Amino acid sequence: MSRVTAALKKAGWTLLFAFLVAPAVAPIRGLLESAAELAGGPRLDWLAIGLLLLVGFVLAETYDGPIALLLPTALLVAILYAAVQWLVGLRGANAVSLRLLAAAGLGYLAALTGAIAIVFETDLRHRLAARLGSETVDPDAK
Amino acid sequence: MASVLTRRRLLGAAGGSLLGAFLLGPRVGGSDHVDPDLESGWRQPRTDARNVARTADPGPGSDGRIGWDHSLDSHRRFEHAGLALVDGTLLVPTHRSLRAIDVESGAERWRYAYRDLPVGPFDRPQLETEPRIRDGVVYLAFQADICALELDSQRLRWRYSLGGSVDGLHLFGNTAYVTGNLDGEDRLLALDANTGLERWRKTGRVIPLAARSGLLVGARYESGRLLGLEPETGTRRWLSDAAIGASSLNRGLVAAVDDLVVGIESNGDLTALEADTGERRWTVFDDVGDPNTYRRSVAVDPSERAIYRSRPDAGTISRIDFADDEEWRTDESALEFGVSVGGGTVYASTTDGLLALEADAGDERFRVSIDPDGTDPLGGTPLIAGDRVYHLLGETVYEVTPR
Repeated sequence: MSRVTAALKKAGWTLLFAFLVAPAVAPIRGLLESAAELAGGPRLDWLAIGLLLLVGFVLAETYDGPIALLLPTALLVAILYAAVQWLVGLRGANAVSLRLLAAAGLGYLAALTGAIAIVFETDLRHRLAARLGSETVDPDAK
Repeated sequence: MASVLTRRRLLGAAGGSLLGAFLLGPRVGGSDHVDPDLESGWRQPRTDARNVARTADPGPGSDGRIGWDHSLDSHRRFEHAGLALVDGTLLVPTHRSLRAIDVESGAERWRYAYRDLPVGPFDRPQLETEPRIRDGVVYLAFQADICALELDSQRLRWRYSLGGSVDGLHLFGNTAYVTGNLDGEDRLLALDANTGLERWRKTGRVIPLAARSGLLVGARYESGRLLGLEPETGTRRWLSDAAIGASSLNRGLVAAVDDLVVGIESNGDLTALEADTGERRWTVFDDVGDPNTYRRSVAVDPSERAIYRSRPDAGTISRIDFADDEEWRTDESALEFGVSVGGGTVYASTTDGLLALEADAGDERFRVSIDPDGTDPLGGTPLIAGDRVYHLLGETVYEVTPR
């Protein structure tokens, strides 16, 4: 396989992964825009796209789990983030400030970790243990 | 590393993050309204939240001359009543930006324009209101956004977005009162000035105009009728039959002092309302046939129990005491919007500069002239600080110093 073919294949996987996780990365765009506004910097539309492609690339290189789980996880992140926003009062809040930005960031982290924990259950731990050769974390070890 | 990503720990991280988000979020840590301490200096376009255009400082007093002048090279907006002063910097509103002018030299230090509009990178939102300052932060309305801008860094502390253009903004203590369309309805909002978080909202298009302890005075947009509200809750205390014209364009028609609310009505009458009940205490009927009140304004000196009224359409400045007696009247054919009083001197905008009158008798002390840039010599409230006066006329800001 030529280099060009390999690069195209890698780019294709990157785009596929980026597409699958896009619902989970989408809220970061709003966070970045708010951060840029408070910092007095320019709008960061392209940064959000770059971040999405970076996440897609990293997943394409490292992820060895079932691809079918990615889109549901990403959708769950988006749903949980909306729920967290409503719960902590950020939904419908028309204000932007450093404090609210931190709250939104923590809310996003809660949605992300919650969704991963719900979807992957112990699957992720097994896979990482197998990948890293660790024997200490097998939950089924008797 | 793998042991970090156990399900239990992921759920722990989710729970911890959720708790952190809740504690930092809008539901927790809200504060109550606190009246301002006795403010010194000129922190709002008409001195302070009472809108009295009065200070103890005398300005140049008996005689004055122009120190420096600075052209803004930008249109001004009719709604802007004046400027503010903080730490040696004049804050001057223009059509689309706030300018910071060095008070000693008149040189521009910095300017701030809010973000690009979605329609194009070269267009920017209009600056709807004048600067109002509290604790190193200036509060401004750029079209549909309320911005709390830190003066040291010129960065936003917070921003609050409405659904349409802001009709009114008034700062009183640690509360910013804002009128605009939100969620499809016209509302009056009370925002925490420190955080931008909402304290309360009331349905209705009520423009906040002036405030003093225990009373926020506003006017209904459609009828112009004045009403008094509790600053802490927005509960209505009274509704007066006195009405001002074009409340969202009001610049100096209403002021609130200890027990009085003074206002120039849409028919030109000068009316004093009881601050506690909103009932009329007295009315000085206007003697102009077809009054144009848009350029009129009042300055109120509670220590002298005197009201100074500028009527550019009638060509007069007069002093009326708190018992509705006119003590003096001066004819001046070329008046513009803007009057203030400090240390025994009344300063009034004219179409080509500034006029200084003795506050007790109305005798002229001095006048200065300047060639205002722009076709419309929009006046501004003269800002009195120490032995200087700073004035906006047309597109020019200038200093008047003692001769």
